[in-house]
Amino acid sequence: MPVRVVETSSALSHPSGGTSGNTLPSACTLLSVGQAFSGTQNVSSQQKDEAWRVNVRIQGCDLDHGYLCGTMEALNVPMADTPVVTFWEGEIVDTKNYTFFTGKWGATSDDDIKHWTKFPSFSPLLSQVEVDGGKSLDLSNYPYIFMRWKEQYFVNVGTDCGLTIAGFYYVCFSCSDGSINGFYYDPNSSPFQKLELKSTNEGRLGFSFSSYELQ
Amino acid sequence: MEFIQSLLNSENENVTGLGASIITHSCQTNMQQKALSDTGIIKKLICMLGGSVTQKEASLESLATILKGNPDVILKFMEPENGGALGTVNELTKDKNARTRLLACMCLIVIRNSSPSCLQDLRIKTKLILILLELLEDDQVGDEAPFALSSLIAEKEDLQVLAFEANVIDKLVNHLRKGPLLSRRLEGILIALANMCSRLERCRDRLLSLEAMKFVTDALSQDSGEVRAAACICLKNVSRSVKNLSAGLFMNENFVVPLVRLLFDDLTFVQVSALDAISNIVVDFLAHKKIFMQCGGVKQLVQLSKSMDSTIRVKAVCALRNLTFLVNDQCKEEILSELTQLTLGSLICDPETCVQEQSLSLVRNLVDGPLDSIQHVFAADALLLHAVGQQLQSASKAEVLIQGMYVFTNVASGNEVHKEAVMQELFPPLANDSESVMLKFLHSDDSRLRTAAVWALVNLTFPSSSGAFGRVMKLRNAGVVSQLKNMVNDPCLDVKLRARTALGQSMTSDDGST
Repeated sequence: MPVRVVETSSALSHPSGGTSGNTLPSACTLLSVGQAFSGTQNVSSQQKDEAWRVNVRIQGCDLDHGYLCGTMEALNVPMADTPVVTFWEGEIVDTKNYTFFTGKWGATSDDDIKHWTKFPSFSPLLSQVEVDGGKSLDLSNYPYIFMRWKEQYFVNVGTDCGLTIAGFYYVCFSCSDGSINGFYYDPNSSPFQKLELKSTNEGRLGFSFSSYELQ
Repeated sequence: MEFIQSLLNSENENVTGLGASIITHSCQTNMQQKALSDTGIIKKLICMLGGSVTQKEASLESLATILKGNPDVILKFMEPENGGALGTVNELTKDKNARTRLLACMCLIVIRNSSPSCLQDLRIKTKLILILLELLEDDQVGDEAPFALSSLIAEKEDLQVLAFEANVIDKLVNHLRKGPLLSRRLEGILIALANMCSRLERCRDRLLSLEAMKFVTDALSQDSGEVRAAACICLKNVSRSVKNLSAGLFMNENFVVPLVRLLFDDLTFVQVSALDAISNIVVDFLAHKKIFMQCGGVKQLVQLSKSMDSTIRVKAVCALRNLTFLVNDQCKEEILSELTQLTLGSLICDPETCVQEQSLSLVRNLVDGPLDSIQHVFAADALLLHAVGQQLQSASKAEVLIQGMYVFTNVASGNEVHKEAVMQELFPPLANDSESVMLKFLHSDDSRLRTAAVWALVNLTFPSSSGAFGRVMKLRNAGVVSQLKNMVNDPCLDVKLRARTALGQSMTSDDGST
């Protein structure tokens, strides 16, 4: 959620291409509900270097539908009195529900490739993604999970808080250590703002997992 | 059978109607359906579709009974020798008589639900939705139409999409706005809305945007138990939306107060429905769980967790488990002081495995969060920790073992005392030479159990903990480290990665000791 620059129109709504025949990514416990991550988002512009501390918490996960959601909290936002919390929804690139091509939110396939190639773990997939968006790839045992996170609303402040949620994040999650890297995309914001998060264990000597079950 | 045949062969339409009605009220099993089909009764019933209104209606009801849930009989019904019977039923959906139209729709819905391949035409499905919406307006059959609509769309995402596109939600809400409605109609509309919102977020969004939840909350206090339950089911399905739970949309007194009141309801099915809705609403991510507790919700959930009825018990514990998810320490204390370690310990060992599973999940949430939370399982001479340990030694259901292992994983993410206590439970000093439960779990066919077990090992061998070396030695002696070596190429990616981490940490501990 960078500083608002220009008001943008609402998101386009045509879906990205779905295909069949590929298996879904296997469940990764580090990306399950309740898991927390912390790190920074670099929001530097030509005028100044700036980074915000960011906390993320996973709140919902539905692998069958390639869906993930949670909250993102930006801590030292200069123009805000309190931490700013947004709710985001994620599309998991599983090649069944979603491919690497976004097909909405103002992102062209060129924008997609430019952002995905920023992740070293994407390079083995590049040639196939250029052909079909990755539809024919089997990512079920790939140790990285690629996602798009789109902030949907501000949880604790109004839309007049001076920040924008018009764009979205290209995200790469490492199943090995739970680290998250992302790049914010919004034609009206500084390009390639980097999000870097690590799995947090909240003062513990190890990992802890909570759970809920909706009826 | 011969008697029914003789009735259906009568020249008198009252008598043939009686024959069809006997079938409707007596045919209950697949065997009976097949027997009726084998005697050629279907052909006779199809003939009756061309008769008087009474005959048509009796035949449609009877056919729906014979076809329900039986694809073989449906195949027979569809045979060409029956002269396009499906087409005839389809035509009757346009009959001038509203009840005939409704029964024809219900017959087609039975066919669609029992044998989806027989009714794939999108136009027929859309037409059914539109006819049922129209019948909602009818004085004679308007009460039954929403139930028919529900049976058409229940658990079927594709039909829910079609219904959404046909503005079903808006039209159902319009009926609610016209109120007051009689109980049966209100119940049917609430159930239809519940089914619409069971899977699709766009349906939930639409219902919320129409500000229709006030009708649902009003219905929670209706005289009719069926209406109260239907309102709970509607609320349960709407609150499946994590997006709206995250916005704190449901954790307020408008919803919570009447729902908690329904936990005291005289009717068990109302209590069950209220428990389901509460289970979802208490997930709440905005730290407003206190509202539920201030309304006396915890006290009543704890009471219901001691119910003799196992359905009530499991749902009450599930609600407590969800309430404990990411809750602050003060709320945890309040929940535990009401529930007590003793009761929770009994629930972990409940005769019903579903209750065991939910109780262990509750403990898992209890010991998550700030480090101090782990102390909850050490209170009362570590009653809860021992209860979990006993279940892991004796239970056989994977879901119970998985939750139990996650309790130990969470406890093992604590300090040295916590980690050693888990070691004691997993590798009791007085155990004989039999294989440890940890080894059994690592060998499990269920990758979820293997994952949970390997996470516990990751925490027990966590490198910056001072006793890691001693624990690694014990794990080595118990054959766990060599099993981890076998798991570095486990077919489950999650297991493989954690096994590599645990093994790497075990090696580091070894190196650090020399």
